[in-house]
Parts: sequence; C-alpha cells; structure tokens
Amino acid sequence: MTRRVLLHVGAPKTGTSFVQDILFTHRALLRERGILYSADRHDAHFLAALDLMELPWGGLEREAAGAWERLAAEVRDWPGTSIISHEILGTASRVQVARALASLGDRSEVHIVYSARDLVRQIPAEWQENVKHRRTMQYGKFLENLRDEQRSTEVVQWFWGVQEVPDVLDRWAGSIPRERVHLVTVPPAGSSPTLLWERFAGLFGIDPNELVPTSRANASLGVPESAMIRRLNERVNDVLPGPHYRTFVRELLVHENLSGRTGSPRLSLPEDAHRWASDLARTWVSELAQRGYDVVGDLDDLVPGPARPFTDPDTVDERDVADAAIDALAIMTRETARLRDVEVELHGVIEDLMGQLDRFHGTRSYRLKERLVAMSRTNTLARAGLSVYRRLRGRRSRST
Amino acid sequence: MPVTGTDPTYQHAVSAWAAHLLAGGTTSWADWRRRATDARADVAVLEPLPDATHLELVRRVNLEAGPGADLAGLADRILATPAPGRGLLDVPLPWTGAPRRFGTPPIDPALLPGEELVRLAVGVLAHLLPGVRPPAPDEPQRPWPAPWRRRFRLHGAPATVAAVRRHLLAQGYVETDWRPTHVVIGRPVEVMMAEHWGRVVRAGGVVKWSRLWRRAEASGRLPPQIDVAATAARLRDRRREPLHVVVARDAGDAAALAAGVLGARPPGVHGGPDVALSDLVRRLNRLAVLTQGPDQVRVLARTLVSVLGADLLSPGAPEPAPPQASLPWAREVAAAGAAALRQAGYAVHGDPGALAPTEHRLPGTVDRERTLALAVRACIRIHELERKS
Amino acid sequence: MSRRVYLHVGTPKSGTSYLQDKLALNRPRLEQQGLDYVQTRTGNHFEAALDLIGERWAGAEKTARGQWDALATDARKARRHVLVSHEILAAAGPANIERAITSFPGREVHVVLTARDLGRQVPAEWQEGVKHRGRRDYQGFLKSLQKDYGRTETRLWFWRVQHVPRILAGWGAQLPADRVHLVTVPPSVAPRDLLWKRFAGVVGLDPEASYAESETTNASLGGAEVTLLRRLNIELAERKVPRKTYVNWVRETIVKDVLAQRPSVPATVPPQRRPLIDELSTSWLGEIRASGVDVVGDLEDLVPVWPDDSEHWSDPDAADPTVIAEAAIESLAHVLALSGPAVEGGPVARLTRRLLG
Repeated sequence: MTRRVLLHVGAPKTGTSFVQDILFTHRALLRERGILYSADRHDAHFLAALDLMELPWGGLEREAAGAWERLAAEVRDWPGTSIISHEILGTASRVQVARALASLGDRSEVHIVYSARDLVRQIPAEWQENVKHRRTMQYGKFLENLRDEQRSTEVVQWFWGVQEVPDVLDRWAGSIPRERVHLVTVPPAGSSPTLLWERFAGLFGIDPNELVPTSRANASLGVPESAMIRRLNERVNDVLPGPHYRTFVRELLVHENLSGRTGSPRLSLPEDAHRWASDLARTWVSELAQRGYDVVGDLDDLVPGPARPFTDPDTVDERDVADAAIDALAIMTRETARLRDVEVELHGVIEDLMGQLDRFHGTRSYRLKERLVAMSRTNTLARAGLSVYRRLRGRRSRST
Repeated sequence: MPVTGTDPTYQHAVSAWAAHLLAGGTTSWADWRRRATDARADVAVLEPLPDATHLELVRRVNLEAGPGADLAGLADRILATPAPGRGLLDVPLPWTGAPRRFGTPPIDPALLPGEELVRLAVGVLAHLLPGVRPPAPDEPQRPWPAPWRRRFRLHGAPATVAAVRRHLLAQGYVETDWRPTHVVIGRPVEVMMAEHWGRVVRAGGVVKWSRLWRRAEASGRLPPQIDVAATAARLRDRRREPLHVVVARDAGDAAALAAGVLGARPPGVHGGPDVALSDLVRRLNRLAVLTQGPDQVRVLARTLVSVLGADLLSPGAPEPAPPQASLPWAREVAAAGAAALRQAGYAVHGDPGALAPTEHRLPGTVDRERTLALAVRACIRIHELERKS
Repeated sequence: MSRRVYLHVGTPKSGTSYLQDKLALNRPRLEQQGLDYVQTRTGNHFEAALDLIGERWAGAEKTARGQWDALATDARKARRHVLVSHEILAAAGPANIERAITSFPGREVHVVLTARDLGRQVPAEWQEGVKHRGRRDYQGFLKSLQKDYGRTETRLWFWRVQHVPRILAGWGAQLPADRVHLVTVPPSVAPRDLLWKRFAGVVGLDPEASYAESETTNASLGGAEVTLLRRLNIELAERKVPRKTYVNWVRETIVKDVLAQRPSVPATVPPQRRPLIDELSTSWLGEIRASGVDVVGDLEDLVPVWPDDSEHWSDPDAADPTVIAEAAIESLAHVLALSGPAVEGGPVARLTRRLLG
C-alpha cells in the first residue's frame, strides 16, 4: 500500500472538530485498517500544532513541548496512510511548513487537505470564536479591521492566516504536486448533514456509513448571547484565570447552555460587508479554479449566497442580552454553590484526617521515631538504623 | 513545482540581498533596490524565500555588531528560525510589478512594526539559549553567625534589597531570622513595582507590565513584598527585633539610609530596574514554556540575564513609569502608604512622601526599541560565547 | 422605679436592623445605664419573635420552637430593665400579644414601635419580599396591597406589619397609653443618628452619650436591580436551587456586593396611587392622635414626601433593559471571579504543610 500522509491544515469552523472526534474515537479500528491517527489524548494534534508553530495558547502550551516531533516520529514509521489534522496549522509560515514537511520523512507521499466554507459564513463564525476565547473586540471594529488592507491588528492577521484559502495553499502546497492538494468544500446551508462527512471520508479512505459522526456539532451562539459574552469578557479578563474561564464560561455557559437557545437570531454580515466579502470570495474561487487542485465537492460552494437579515451585536436588543445574562447568572450561581458544597465536604474529610494525624503523632512509638530521625541527621549509626527501617517499611513511609 | 504567483526577478533580488546580509552587509532594502538595478541571475534562489522580518533582523544584528565582526552562522540561524506565535505572516518586500493579490501586503523592512522584530528575536534567543551553559547560582559569601555580629533582615523593594544585602554581608553582617534588626526599604511605587516585576520574570513569570498593575489595582493593594506599610505593620511589636523603615527616591540614598541604620558603611548602589530587559525575559519565558518545557524556563531566564551581564539594578536603565491608566491609583496607593507610615510611629528614615510616583511624565509603556536592542545584543553575545568554546 | 420590659415590635424597614446592630455593639454601655438587650444563641431576637407569632418561615419555625420562652426566662433573671426587639413581632395576633405581655411578671411593660412614612415603606417591602426569593412584580404587589386593605380581616403580611394604628391598638390593648411609644423615623435628609437618639431616649438610654456606630446599611436597591433579582428568582426556582445557596450566593453576595453598590434609582409609589397613600396616612395620623400614645419625634414624619417625578416616573417592571443587562453581567462577572477555591490558608494548605514538614 502507498505510504501517504494526509495533512489536514484547516480551516477553522468547517466541521473539523467533528472529523477529529471520529478519528480519535475510532483510532484503534482505523489502525487495523492501515490508517494511523496517532493520538494519546483528544487534543494531541492541537498540542503538536502549538509546538510546530511555537504558539502560546492561554497556558495550554505547557504540555506541548516536543509534541510535533513525537507525532512526526510515529508518522515516519507508519507504512500505510497517516492523518494529521488541526485547523490552526493553516497559519504556519513557510519556514514552519518546511520544517513540518521535512520532519515527515521522504518515504511518504504528502497530501495537503484543506476544508473551506464560503467567506460570508466564516467571518461571523471567527468573530464568535474570538469572543469565546476572551476577546473583547466589537463586531463593527472587527469588520473594519478586516477590510484594512494593511492587516495591522493581530486578530485580523490570524483570521487571514487561517482563512485566506489561496495564501494558505501557497504556503503549504507550494512544493506539492497539484493532484495531491485536496480542497474539500463545505456544502451550502440546507444540504444534507452527512454530505460533508462523506467528502472527508472519501479522502481518508473510510466508509462514511460505517463510522458516523456523533451529534456533537458545536452549535453557534445567537447574537444577544455573543454580545453578552463579549461584555462579560471586558469585566472578567483581568480577574479570571484561564482554566476557570475555559471551564465556566466556555464549557459550562456557552457550550452546555447558551448554545441551546436556538430561537435567537444568528450572526451574519451587514449589507456592505456582505458585498465586499462576496466579491473577495469570488476572486478566490476564480484563482483556485486555475490552480488545478483536487476539489472534493464544488468550488461553487465557496460562492456566498444572498445576504441574510443582519442583527448587529453591538446594538442588539438589551432585553435579549438581559435574558441571556440572567440565564447564565442562574446557572453560574447553582454551579458555584455546588462546587463550594463539594469543597466544604472535602474540608470535612481533611479535618477528620488531621485529627487522626494528631492522635497518631501523639503516640509514644511515633515520638521515638521522630527523635531517631532528628538524631540521624547528625549520627551515622542512627542513620544506618533508619535506612534499614525504611527499607523494611518500603518506599512509602518517606517522612518517617 | 514553482511557487504560484511569484515573480522570478523578485526572488532573485531578495536572495541577492539576503546573500549581502549573510556576508555582514548593512544596506537597507530601499538602498539595495536603488543600487542593484540588474537582477543577478547567478545568485541561487533561497528556498523558502526569507521574508522582510527575518532579513531586517539580520541587518540590525550586523549594524549592532559593527564592521569586521564575525557573525558567520548567526545570520543563517536567524533565517532558519520561524517567527513564533501570532503576528504578520511571511511579510514580502516591496517590489515593482503587479501588486500581490493574496497574503500579507508588502512592507518596507525599515517600516516594520517593532513588535515583529522583537517577536522574531525572542524566537531566535529561545533556540540559542539552551546551548549556553547556565550561570552558577549567585550565592554571596555568608559570614559565620558570631554573636557579636549585627543581625539584620531586609524587606521591601527587592532589587534595592539585594544590592544592600550583598554589601552588608561583605561587611560581616549576618542575615538571620533570629532577633534581627528589620529594615524595610521603600522606593517610589513605580520603582518598587519594576523591581518586583524583575524578580517575577526572572523566576519564570509571564505577566505583562500593564497587567501587573491592573491586577494590583483590582486587588486594592501593592503586591505584599513591596507593600511597605503592611510589612512594617506585620513586623512591629516584635520583642528584641527593632524595626526601621527607610524611604528614598534614589537607590544610593535608600542604600545609604539602610546601611546607616545598622551602622554600616554606605554601599555604593547605583542604577535602577530595567523594564525593557524584564519585558524581554517575560517574552522569552512565554515562548520557552513551549520550546523547552516548563521546567527549563527559569534556567533560561537566568542564562539570558547573565549573557547580557545584567543585574537586578542596571546603571543607565531608563526610569520606569506606571501605565497611564494606573497612574491615579499609583498616586493613591502611595499616599495611603505614606500616611500609614507617618501615623504608625515606627522609626522612619527619609521621607514617606518619596513613595509617590515620580512625576516625570514618561509613558508607562515598555520601550520596545530598547527591548529589541537588548535581544540583538544577547544574540551576538551568545554567538561569541559559542565561538570561544 | 419598677423594672421594665421594652418590647420593640416593629415595623420592618424602619431602621430596625440598624438599631438592633447598634444595640448589640454597645451591650456593655447599655448595661452601665441599666438596660439589658437580652443575649440569645443567635445574637438577635428573630427566633424568639418567630416562635411567638407562630408563622411558617421556610422551616425556621421548627428550629425556633421554645425560643420565646427561653428569652422570657432570661429576661426574668435580669436585674436591669430589659429590651426585646424584633420587627416581625408586629405580625402577632391578639392571643400571642396577650402571651407576650404576660411573659414578664412583675415588670412594667412598654411597647415601642418605630415607623416610617408609607411612601417609603411600600417599595421597601416589595424589595424585601424579592430578596426573600419573591417573584411577584411591582404592579402585582401594589394591587394586592390595595385589595387587601379593604378587607376587615387582613391576611396580607404587608398590612399586618405596617398598619401602624392597628399595631398600636393591638399591642397597646391592655396598656395605658403612656406606655405605648411611637418613634417616627426622620426623613432621609436628617442625620442618621437622629433615629437612634429618639429610640435611645424612649428605652431609658442617654441619647447624648457616645456609642459605637453600626456599619449596616440595608440600602435600597434600584428598581431595575430589584426587577433583575426577581427575574433571577424565577430562573433559580425553575432550576430548584436550594434555599441555603440562595441565602449565601444571592442575598449575601450578588445583592450585597454588586446590586447594592450600583448607583441606581430606587422605586417609589407610582403617581396614580399616591392620593390613596396620602389619604391613608392622613387617616392614620388622626387615629394615632386620638389614641393618645406617646409620640417620640414628629407625626409629620409619617406624611409621605413625594419626589417630583410624575412626568417621568420610572416603573421598575418596565426598567431600562440596558440597566438590567449591565447589572446582570456585572453580577455574573462577580460570581465567576469567586468561582475559585475558597480559602487561601484553609485546611488543605495546613495539611499540606504538615505532611511536607
């Protein structure tokens, strides 16, 4: 069988998490089929990407040192098809790309996979993703910055880095034969929900009916909810540490609760921004058509549809924001109280243990041992005796 | 396969400039374009083609090192180091011909935002530093605790304290917790915060200068180690442990007052905390967590500081200032501290009013140009160290 | 002079928490002057009062059983004059009043009632209800007040504890008028200690002496904030959040630390209902004068002073949604900031230190 490496490098908000979920959940089965998705933890490829691009990420990077090389080593040794997938890889610089490709060895055929969705849907989705990552930039400012040709803000540099399809493929696929560059297009809204998965599965060599996505799609936030979280960020950014933000705001409030409010208006683009984005998307489509990549789907999928009604998060109805905030407040109150109850219980257990320790320390045999330890610090004989004692007791009793 | 949409004359011109820089040249891109009118086809096109940020950093290194410096290898390492983290991606150089349709717009290297150069320089340092032997821990000679030696314990502004401690130990005083004379050293709040920050980043911290202040303001007090009034309140009424508080604007004055309390000779202490240096260490820490792992961060920080020959107090360091937004609170907290010191009736030497932020109207931002200069200097020094060994 | 017992029986929201806190802070001073503010196991007289009036109170009435008798027993042993104070005593019915009055044999019984003008009492009681998990909106609250007032047998808590003439008549039924004292709460512009001085004088303390000051403020929340709280109560009830959580997290945290600190417009009686309140107040003043009870302060204090806002009266039920949204987000931020582990030097830290030497 051909040794292939499928490097799936983007884009964010194109269904990548559900693909990665399937790969991770069924990695053992895939291995038997000759497909390697090497991951000892759910976010293994994410850490590898952080490592490759030397990208701090709110403290998560602490566990990333060396992650890319570990992944690459597994891939180099694998005789079949390997899949590496993470959507932030799209923003790798040419030097980083060169390093990544070199690390995969020269025995495998490297393929680049990039999933793309029309720009008009990507822009609001990325702004919301930013908000869920503690950003406080207002939507209007975000759109204004996007249209700045100088790309002077970090938020915008990131956006184009992962979403500008022709440039991402320039950087990643500059030295790759065109037939090995696969552009997967996300079907337009209203298409069959399994269509996208079928396109990926075909590329990976997986039967789409055998491994089916679980319905874990991250529902998008409505406009009032997004506005509420953005304003919340303004207040908590200086006082809430990263792990707390991730657990409470992102997981508990957003993913588990606020995303469920499906009646809220969804975020789209105002009319003039819609026109600008559609024109830009069309430019990309005609460029991509000329490049001769392998298109899985249809380039027309990347042409935005007509403008949808626009609700502005910067001036949204405060009643809806208040609703979302009160909902979140109730959830948070209950959760914090529950955690404190757990903590109080733990304290009870600890106090009890401390009591037992006290009683133990008061016993005569313990006091004798304590004196022996103190003596052994200055007395060789005592030290020898003590080490024998410790060996007999086993490694566990380190303190006595 | 050819890189799509790139003009071969552009590739040759950039590669030629790169070759000039790799050989130690310092001509700017603008000047280079003017002079080299014919594309030299014999220059090999570099693959991948370096971007404006990398080339400009090499040029700055060459400028700093001066003519005749042997930097062989350093420039190659710079070109091979990817710029870490977020920022402008693969910045092309300005060129005639059709404007690029995709990707980052071209920027003249001389006009690159300082942040981009610093970012890359930190990335280079993160790769160079692990090859340098870490300095031995700086343990001052401690005299034997004879009963006739005066005992002391210092608190307050950490860098000033460290300098004074060294001099006192050298003069035979004993630092101990058993019935010492406590001396709390106060400096203007922005100096103390800068000294505190210097300590924090040398221990691996990654908090920014502005956020350090915001956190302090949110908590309503200065960090405990530099909260002079609170420290004094904690230490008062200890039997047989006299308490003295010294406050002065100038490091030398503070040191002289502290030594005076103990009857020691005035130590010649100069300089101040270098905020730009601390920011460089901070940036390195942030990256080193990722490139070397959390355990190595502190070691690398110390190595960087030692490579630059810097101390907690640097002579010639620019004066620190609180960030604009925190200046009102800085005044408030200093005034509160001064009032507490005056009312409490401790032995206070110097003027508690000296806690107030110095009104020098400097912007409370880190001087990025200085941070970059320090980073460049560090790269050069490491390269020299490697050549010697 | 024979030994006395002063029963301070109400009304709620007339500065009673402030007075009780100040009394507790100054017990030694009080004792020096011959007055015993009876000490109880909780520090205040809530349990005794609850036990006496026999109301249901979210289960607290079970714990409080027997506390009135305990208080009375302690009072009997006291050698000085005795002061009992809790504002829910106002709700006592005739039988319980009788029991209360006869609980202190051998002592001269005095009844003290602090009272504030109805214009301030109405919104304050609505707020208090919401702070105790109430979910009724302001209009609903006002309607029920109006409806119930007409009834001869009042069931509604508000009138039971705020109808000054009825309370005076009930508690004073078997007492000479000069042993029933009505202390009026001065208008909000007056200095805070004026109420204390009036009250102190009645219970035999020297008003001009110096006393430790109380820091409590049972501040009024803004109307928008009360509405936020009310809507939060609805959400919390749906999620079946237990009462203890509510007390600790909502009342003691969100209300105290966030909502009470916000600069906001407190609710007032809506303009169209003010004539009725004025009528009531006038008629009450007449009854009080006729009753001959001892008035400490000025009866005019009980006449509502209306702000000049009839053109633009702010209805708490229709509060500015921006204000509500901001208050909610601020509260959410506050609760999030508290979501970390509780105590820095707590048992976990102590244990760790011991194990590691």
